[in-house]
Amino acid sequence: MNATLETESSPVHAPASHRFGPANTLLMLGRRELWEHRGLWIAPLVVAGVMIAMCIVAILYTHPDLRGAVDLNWFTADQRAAAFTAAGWTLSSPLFLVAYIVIFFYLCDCLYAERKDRSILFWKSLPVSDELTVAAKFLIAAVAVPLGVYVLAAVTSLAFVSFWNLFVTLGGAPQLRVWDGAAWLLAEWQQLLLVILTSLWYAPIYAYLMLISAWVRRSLYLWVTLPPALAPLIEWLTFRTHYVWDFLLYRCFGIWHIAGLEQLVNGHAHGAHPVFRNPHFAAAFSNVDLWLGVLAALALLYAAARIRRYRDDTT
Amino acid sequence: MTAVVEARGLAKSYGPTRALDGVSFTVEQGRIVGLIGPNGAGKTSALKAILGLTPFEGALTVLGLDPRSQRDALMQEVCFMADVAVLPRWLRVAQALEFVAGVHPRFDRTVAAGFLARTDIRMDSRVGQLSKGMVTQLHLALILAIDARFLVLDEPTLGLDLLYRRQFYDTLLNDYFNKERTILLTTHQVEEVEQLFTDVIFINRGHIALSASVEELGERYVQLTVSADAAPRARELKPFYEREVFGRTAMFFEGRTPGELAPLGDTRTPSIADLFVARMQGVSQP
Repeated sequence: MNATLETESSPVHAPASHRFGPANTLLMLGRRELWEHRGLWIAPLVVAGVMIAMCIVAILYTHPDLRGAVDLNWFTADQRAAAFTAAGWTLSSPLFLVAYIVIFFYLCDCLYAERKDRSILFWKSLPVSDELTVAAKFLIAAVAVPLGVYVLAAVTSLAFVSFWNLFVTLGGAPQLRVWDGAAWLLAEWQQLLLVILTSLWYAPIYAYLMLISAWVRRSLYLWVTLPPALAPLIEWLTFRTHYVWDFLLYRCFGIWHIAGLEQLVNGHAHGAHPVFRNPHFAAAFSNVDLWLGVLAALALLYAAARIRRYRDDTT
Repeated sequence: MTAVVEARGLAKSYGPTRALDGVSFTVEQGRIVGLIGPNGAGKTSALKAILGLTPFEGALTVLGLDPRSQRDALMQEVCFMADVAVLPRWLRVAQALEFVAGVHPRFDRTVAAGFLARTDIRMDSRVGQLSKGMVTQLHLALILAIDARFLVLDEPTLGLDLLYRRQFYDTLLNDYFNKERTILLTTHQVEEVEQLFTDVIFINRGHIALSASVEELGERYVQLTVSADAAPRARELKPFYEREVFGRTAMFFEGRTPGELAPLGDTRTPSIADLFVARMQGVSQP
């Protein structure tokens, strides 16, 4: 078929057919999601803006004694890396927290709202497959927004460092070392890996939310919470066991375990703790459960697309 | 002529209800077909089956494709517009154009923009800010700009005022319709659009009550209006439906010529609306 197309169509038309390939359609679908769910990018931007504003205010209105300020020259390279990682994670945590909350609501809403306002009849009047639509929505939640927030966090941290640097210079202590490019890059690299790991680990939960979103007719949030709440209860009442509960806990918090970050979560970590220098990324990315989860996510996404294909509740 | 839609034994159930009970019909290319029936007759089920929006039983091809397995290919050639208000409220006019341009290979943005320029719709408006009539204009602009072979309209002017309705159908006929294109339309306002149709399909309780071209209707049906004294004689010729109109009786005949009825009163070709009412009541009577 491609051969006939190429021989028949003029060169002018050749790029046009390329323009409507799956990749470009996916990109268009993704932009559509960001038009509709503006909270996905506005919320993190607002948080970043507030954080930078607070930083400026703090620098302008407080006068810490720079004689006691931290000088990076006191530390070893390892310790500097750990310090940058700790600072980076602390600074970016409000951004990611807000982003993942918005992502949660987005995932619940994304295949439900279009049926509720009947706009699905418009989207389905266009030559876009359900699989591609579902894929676009998933990729927005699991790839585009987390990576966008990651970049935003990096920019925010650079802004913080710049302000601090300026403050230190203007404050009459230019000899203080406040910046270590290598440590910063290492911290950012680890954070990127953690963002990717998070998306992979939580992919089945994302896909589960999308499946519910594609399936429910009403009481969306009731249906989102009911199965994970009832299943362990029923199991316990019936068999007096708690495998489902353990499994759910593992899928929710196991990421810290596979990445070797439990100490961080348990609150035992401090600035130069080895946990910041050495998350177990190699082990985490080769974890079987991680990839089994990704497979489960693919199956759930496929089910969501099938449901969207024939769900017939727009009369 | 080529068949755009070919349905054989098309059936669709919702639980125990048979929305479509094994209907067969054909839509030929270059026609404007009115799918007419009371509420719950199966119109929307038939359209949804044609558009691949719902599973069904029976054989159905649309433009030679199976709507079940080849929906994505089909939607390149088919356009459809469910009743107004399916454009999401958050969408901006410019975004609507950009999105359709981004996913539909047959969409010509300049055509849509040109049509919108003739309306009061602004590019930066959101759908939620537009009146119902303007939303329909916007949707129509998108559809006119898609070079599709088959257009399906489900109550496209429901809830619009007369001016918008008239404009809608004028635009459809003048700017869109041609011999390569086919339109399938359901509407409640039969009187208003009956000059538009080349063919009608009456559907009732999941069955096809009548399927014919407008020319065939003229050949097959005669409406005779008689005064009270001529009514008994006319009744002997077995009209299938009659009703009182200003003290006279309008009778509807099938298979009689105007020539044999003319001596009894005034004859004419019944309007589609009258015929529809007549057929629907005829069906419900034993």
